[in-house]
Amino acid sequence: MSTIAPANTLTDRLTVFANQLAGDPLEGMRRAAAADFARLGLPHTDLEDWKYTNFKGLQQLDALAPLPILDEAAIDLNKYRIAGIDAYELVFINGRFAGTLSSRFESEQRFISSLALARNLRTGLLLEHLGMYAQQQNEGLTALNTALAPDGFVIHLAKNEVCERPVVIYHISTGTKERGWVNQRNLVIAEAGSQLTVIEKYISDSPIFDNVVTEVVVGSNADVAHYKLQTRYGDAWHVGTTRVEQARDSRYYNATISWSGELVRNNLQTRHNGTGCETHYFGLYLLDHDNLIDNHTLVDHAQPHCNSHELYKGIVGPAGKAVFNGKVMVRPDAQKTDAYQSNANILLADTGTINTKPELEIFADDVKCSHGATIGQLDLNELFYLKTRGIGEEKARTILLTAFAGEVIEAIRIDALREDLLAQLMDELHRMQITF
Amino acid sequence: MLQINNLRASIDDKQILKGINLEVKPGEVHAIMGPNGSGKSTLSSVIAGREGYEVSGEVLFNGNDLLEMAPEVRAWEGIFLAFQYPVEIPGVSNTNFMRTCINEQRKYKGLPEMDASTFLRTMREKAELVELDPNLMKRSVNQGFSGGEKKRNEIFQLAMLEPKLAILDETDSGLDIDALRIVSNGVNKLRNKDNAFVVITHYQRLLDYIVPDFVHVLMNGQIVKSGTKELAYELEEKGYDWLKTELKATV
Repeated sequence: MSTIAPANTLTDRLTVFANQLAGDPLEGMRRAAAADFARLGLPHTDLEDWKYTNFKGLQQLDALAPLPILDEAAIDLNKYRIAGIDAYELVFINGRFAGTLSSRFESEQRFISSLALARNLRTGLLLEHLGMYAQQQNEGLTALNTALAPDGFVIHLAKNEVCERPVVIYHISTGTKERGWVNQRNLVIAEAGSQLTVIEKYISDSPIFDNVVTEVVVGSNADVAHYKLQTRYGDAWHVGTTRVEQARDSRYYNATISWSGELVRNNLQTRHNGTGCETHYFGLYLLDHDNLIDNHTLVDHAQPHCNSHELYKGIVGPAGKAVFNGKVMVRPDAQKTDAYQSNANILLADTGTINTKPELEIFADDVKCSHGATIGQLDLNELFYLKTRGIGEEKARTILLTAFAGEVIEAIRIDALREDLLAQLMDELHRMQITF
Repeated sequence: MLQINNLRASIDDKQILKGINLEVKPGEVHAIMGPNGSGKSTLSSVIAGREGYEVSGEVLFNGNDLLEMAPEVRAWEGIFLAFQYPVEIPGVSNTNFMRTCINEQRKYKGLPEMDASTFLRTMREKAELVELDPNLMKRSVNQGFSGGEKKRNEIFQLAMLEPKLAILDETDSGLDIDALRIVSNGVNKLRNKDNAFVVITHYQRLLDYIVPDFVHVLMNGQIVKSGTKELAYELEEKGYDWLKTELKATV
């Protein structure tokens, strides 16, 4: 029996991979990341940040094993499309960019394409930004991603470019019964005064492990709305880190909607690098079986006069386990910060688990910061009121849960997406009611 | 219509209703008065089907055992409770709420869903009845409503659902005289020979507007005296202590 720890095996194979990188413009970055990974290894529950979220199954997986390459023509994108949205579409199937299914756009002002293509078409941009923000020095999976992610999406809007159509990224895993890895690396650069909406939709009917890192740079006075949907994610595993850098007077608006996936960890981190930034986080998680959904958020108030607003809501069934960790850092210079955070949870049965942890670290004295975390059950008075009006138990519960969760969906600013999700939400909650 | 025989109810081993007997016939209005803690609200809760009570005795509604029915079935059969403290339902608009209530009731009766235009027209008419601002219909149920608006919303729902038996639990409490008049007018317009009202109140004042056929006094979990509307005036004048003394004398 081999005595080499599985993580070392991964490291060894990374070295082999790195030796094939000669001539790649990203070679230096990848080699450095491979070294970081060798030091950090995979996450484990002894780390404070991973205390409640156990990914030990990763040790048995081989990050370099390729997933099956599918015929793009055999994929019917209509099955996954968000109805009624006129959008740019970038499609990835088992981690590979599906060019024939995608609507690439590559101009001086507007670049909506893949990482592999950007390597030649936007070399300078990649060298300037890629890997500069995500914390690969202290997060093993981020280092691993940097070291070997073959592809991903790259969106670049030049100064004052307004992208009126949203960009939808369909990330589809299908056609395999073995759990395999996808390392996807994404970059969004919205330069000063530009405006962008990105929707990431994760879809899986295969037991995938998606390790995704997305770096987002929001230029001064630019506006980025960013939606992450994990609504048809089967029994996928997912660790996704979104790292956002905001320049002065910029706005970043995020909603993360998760109601499927076996083991899901969403890291969302934003740093304010100038005054007058505005950050909105919305999140919704529904756990209908013995799955785990973990949201770790960070707003790093490093500059004065910035606002952040965060609302995460969850509904957890009898076997589900949800984790919310919301860190708000207010650094000494960040006077006049206005930060609000709320995490509200409903447990459908007393056997469900929620670990919620607001973490406010405030080093400035003239600030307004508040937070609230609640875990409760459906309000019996509300339930009774609905029943006395002729609404039966199951329907009444569905209505109340939909209203609770709907507050997050209502925050979605794209009408078609909001309506689509609201309709699905009602069905999903109704199904949860029947299941229990 | 409603027949209550020896109804007893307790909560956490505390006996609250101690043998209530009451009969309500179609077309009648019954007022139930009584001091605080006499069991008035418990009576309305038990009839509407709130959980948590240990109940014995018999409540028949049109000959059927009411106590066996789930609260929503009671509603479909024609019972309506106007709450003393109407509940706020964040995130559910009044319009969607009412549409669901109406259609669930129609489903129970084997009727198709009400079409949208009939529904909206009916909503407008019934809202006018209690002078309820139509803009409130788009808002979440009772959320951010004033006290008076909440009570008027209860009567509006009553008008929409057209129950056979409506129980008004202290609907007049906390209403100024204008709101009281609006609510009472609404109720009076809804009265007919086929429906009945049980009006629970602290104050005789309401009975100037909704004139009852019978007045019952509930004290210490029992109906201790029944009479006509003159009894309400007597209570207003002499207070409940008078009744206590009189009862002691009888014993």
